[in-house]
Formats: sequence, structure tokens, C-alpha cells
Amino acid sequence: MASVRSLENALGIIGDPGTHDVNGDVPYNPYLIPDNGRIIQNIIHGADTVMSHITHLYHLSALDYINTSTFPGMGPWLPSYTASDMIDGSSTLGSALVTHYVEALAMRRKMHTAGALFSGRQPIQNAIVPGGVTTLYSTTYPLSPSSTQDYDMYGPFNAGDTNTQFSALLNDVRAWINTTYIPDVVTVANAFPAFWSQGVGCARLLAYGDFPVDSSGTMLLKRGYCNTLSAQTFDAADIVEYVDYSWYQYGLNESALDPYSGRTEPTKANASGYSWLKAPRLMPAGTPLVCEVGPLARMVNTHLRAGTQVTVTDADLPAAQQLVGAPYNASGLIAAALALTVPVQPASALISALGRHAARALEAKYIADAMALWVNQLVADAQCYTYKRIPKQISKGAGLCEAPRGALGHWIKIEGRKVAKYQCVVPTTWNGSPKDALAQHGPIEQALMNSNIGLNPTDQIVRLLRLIHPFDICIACAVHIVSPDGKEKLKFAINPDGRPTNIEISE
Amino acid sequence: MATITIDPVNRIEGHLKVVVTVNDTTGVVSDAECTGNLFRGFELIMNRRDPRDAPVICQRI
Repeated sequence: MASVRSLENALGIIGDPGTHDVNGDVPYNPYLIPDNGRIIQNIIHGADTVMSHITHLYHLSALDYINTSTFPGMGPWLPSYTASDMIDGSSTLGSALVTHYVEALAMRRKMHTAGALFSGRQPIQNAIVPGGVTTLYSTTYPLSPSSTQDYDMYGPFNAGDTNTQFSALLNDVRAWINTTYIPDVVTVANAFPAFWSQGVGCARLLAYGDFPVDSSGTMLLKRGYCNTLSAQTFDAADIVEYVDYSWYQYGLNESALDPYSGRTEPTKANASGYSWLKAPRLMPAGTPLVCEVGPLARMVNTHLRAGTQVTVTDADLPAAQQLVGAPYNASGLIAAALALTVPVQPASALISALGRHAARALEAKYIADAMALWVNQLVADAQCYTYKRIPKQISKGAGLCEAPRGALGHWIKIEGRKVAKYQCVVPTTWNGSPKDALAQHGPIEQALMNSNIGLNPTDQIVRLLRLIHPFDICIACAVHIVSPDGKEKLKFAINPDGRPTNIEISE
Repeated sequence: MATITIDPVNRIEGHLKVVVTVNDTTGVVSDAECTGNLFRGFELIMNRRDPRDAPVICQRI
């Protein structure tokens, strides 16, 4: 989405000002993506986000709270760290959570399948293109579903069947979020209330915002940043990156570089370096600010912008599957969820290890309920994208979006119809960043510092994981070349002209 | 002061190392270092390519 948006910006399809209005909305000028293209982009992106959030709680985080050592031989749950305060996996509560862990696998699949009805495949879809989507949303497209099993369905289908199938899958997931996912987060939070005040971190939350619900830039998730709960104005021109503690080098006298002039020149020669992540910071006024990104940042920044919050509902679901039951917006959802906590937590407690899980669950619901409205706004046989040629002249573009794990930006410069510069600043680079030139720690580092992890050595490990996992770290996409037995075969250096050179065989 | 190293941090996407310093009488973390252990390199892969390759190659990050 960020790469597409950087091209849309460079080609003049969207004119993103980089900042936002008082409501956290982004009035693009121009905005040439047709409604169908905008909505299908949102649906594909939204389905991936909801899938990712479900995965994160159950498959990546639940075992920080549940002791599964009573299930002998049960991979992937063993071996596992255990702590003295974990919920016993064989207790009534523990077994229910383990059952939901398995159910969550099916919900991931349903959400992916629903997205793939529009994108052909999920994840790593190829339907989103600059200007819209390549999806045919047509009344006459010949294929119809060949099976009623969701995992057997292959699209694309005609518009009517696409809608029917999508809504059925989405409603299963929406009902499950209401009856299982959010209640489970509340249950675990109520069992571990100490984590409402652990892992606070830098308490500065940054969101680029995403999911435009109209062509004038009203956002489902608002743009902006905040110091604790005090809303501030964000400008993309203030983003810089440091490499003082990273395995990269800049030129002489270069310290903080903005992404358009950024460099990605790896070096192990930096003796202070301790990470392949750079240190992105916001620099609105001379001092670099450490910022956390992710669902927490999005939900809080949306909550703080009351003006045009988008209203959605779960009232269309059967009564037993509703959570709110009336039209609601982000602030209303946060209030409804916090009322379920024991002891009842204030909104400020969201900036914590448990708050990150809570915000992620609430965002999954907010996006899923919004998708239920969006799919009915599509117009069959209407245009789904606007085409623009790659320009001959020099151009550049910034693509800001919200990936499941947080604010994501790609910056592109085009010269002679080729990429002259490409820089990405990704969510885990913000959250997992090392220190900057002022030796300010990154958000995850700050969330660990000053937290009390007790004195029991095995408990300490689990407590650290309970502070780290809520950030939903993603640094898997890297350049590896390995043999089937796992040995690294070759290492490449990429020259400034884009050609690779084989530099060494690693031992 | 004790040092705890978690490497790799499991159940995440990718390879992360975390090193913390803990006060052994209070249990409070006094210092933390977070290490991304994978070089990504997409910026270099994109150099001089057709701009239309960007969404195909870079959409996973």
C-alpha cells in the first residue's frame, strides 16, 4: 500500500500534503482514484489488517499468559517459557483460551479468503495498483462459486456473488471478534491488571492515518501524533533517520536525513552500531522526538480527533453476536471496552503493555465493522482504477499508510523512468529503533526500561516477553540466500548502480 | 546488576535480540538494547528498476 501510494503521489493521482487538518483527516488534492478503487483498496488492506491482529493475539502473544506445559508433546506450544503467574492451560479458563487459539486459525483463514475474493490472493496480493485496483467488479464476470467451503473458493466471481461470499465470511469474523477475541483480551487483562501500568514507554504516539472513506480524505483512522493524550499536528516533512547506533553509514557531516535524501549503506565498521534498524525520529522543532507507532497510536489519535470520527455498527449481526449493539465511533468503542475492565481503567492506561493488545482488538472490530458498510457502497461495473503513465520528467512521491503493525512510509524518486532513490521507514524501525544521536532510546527499549520484571529468573523472561510482544515486531522481510540445510550460501552487495556483487561466502 | 539476553525473541516475524540490565535487588530494568538482526536491503534492490516494480517487490514491507 505504501509503495502504491508513493507512486500515486509521484504520478499525480493523489496529492498528499503530508500533514492533516484539525480532524486528523487528509484532504488530498487531487484525488483521482475512483470510489470503487478506493473502497476495494480499503477492503483488501482491511482484511489483511484484521487477519494480522487475530494472529498476533492468539498465535504470537497468548502463550505469554497461558501455561501449556501440561499438554505433553504439543508442538508448536512446546518447548515454551513458563512463569509462576500463568493461567494453567488445563483449567477451565485455560482450555477455553486454547480452544480459541485453534478457532483463531479458522478466523484468519476466513479473513484472508474474504480479502482474496477481491485481490486474487492474500497475503502479498497483487491487485492494488497505482490509481486503484485491477479487480474486475463486474455483473457479467462468468465464474460462480463452485463450493460452499470457504477454503475451496477461488475467485474472482461476479459482483453479486463476491458480495454475498465476502459478507458471509466477514460476518463470521465480526461475530467472533465480538464474542471471543475482545472478551478474551478483557479476561486476560483482568487476570494481569499489573500490566496496565507496565511497558508505558515513550508515551508519544504517531499515526499516519488510513482508510479514506471518501474522496475528500475523511479517514477511518486519523493522522496525527500525541504526547500522552495531548493531540499534536504531524508533518511528514519532519521525519528523519539517524544511524549513530546502526550498522549503516552516512556521508561526512550528515546526521539526521529525511527519507528523500536518506541513504541505506550497510557497514559493520560503526563501532557504536548494534542494530540493522535505523533510528527514525520526528523533528518538528530542532529536537528529535521518539515516537511509537501501531494500533495503539491509531486508536488513540483517532479518539483524540472528535470532529469527523466515522460511525459504524454491529447492530446488523444477531443480538447474541453484538458487542455494542448501536452505531458507535472510535471514542465510543474505547469507552465501552474500558467499562469491561476490572478495576475499570481510564483511557490513559491504554499506553501500556495491555493497552496495546486492547487497542489492537478494538481496531480489528472497528475496521471489520467498517468493511461491512464499505462492501455495500461498491457499484458493479463502475471504474476501479485511474491510469497514469510513469512521467518522463524527474518526479518524486511519498506514500504514507498504516500497515497492520503501524505507520509505514515509502519515498520514491523517479528519473528517466527509473527509480533514482527508494527509502522505506517501516513500523518496526520506529518501534524497535536503537538510540539516536542524542542517545535517546527507541520505544521498545523505553517500554522495557523502568519496568519491574521481578527477581525470579524464569518469570523475568516471560515478563520481558509480555512487554515486547505487544509491539508486534516484524523484521522478517530481509535478503537471505540459504541452502535447504540452512547454511548461508552467498552474500551479495548491491552496488549504487543496482547490480549485485557476490562479496563473500559466510562461515 | 544482572544482564539478561533474549536472542532470538520468539513468536515474532523476524530475528530480534533484546539485552536488558536489571537491578538484582528491585527487579527494575535500568537499560535496554533492541537489535534488529536482519539486513533488509529493499532500498538497494529498487535502485534503477522500473518504478512499477515497487508495489510487487516492496509491498511486503
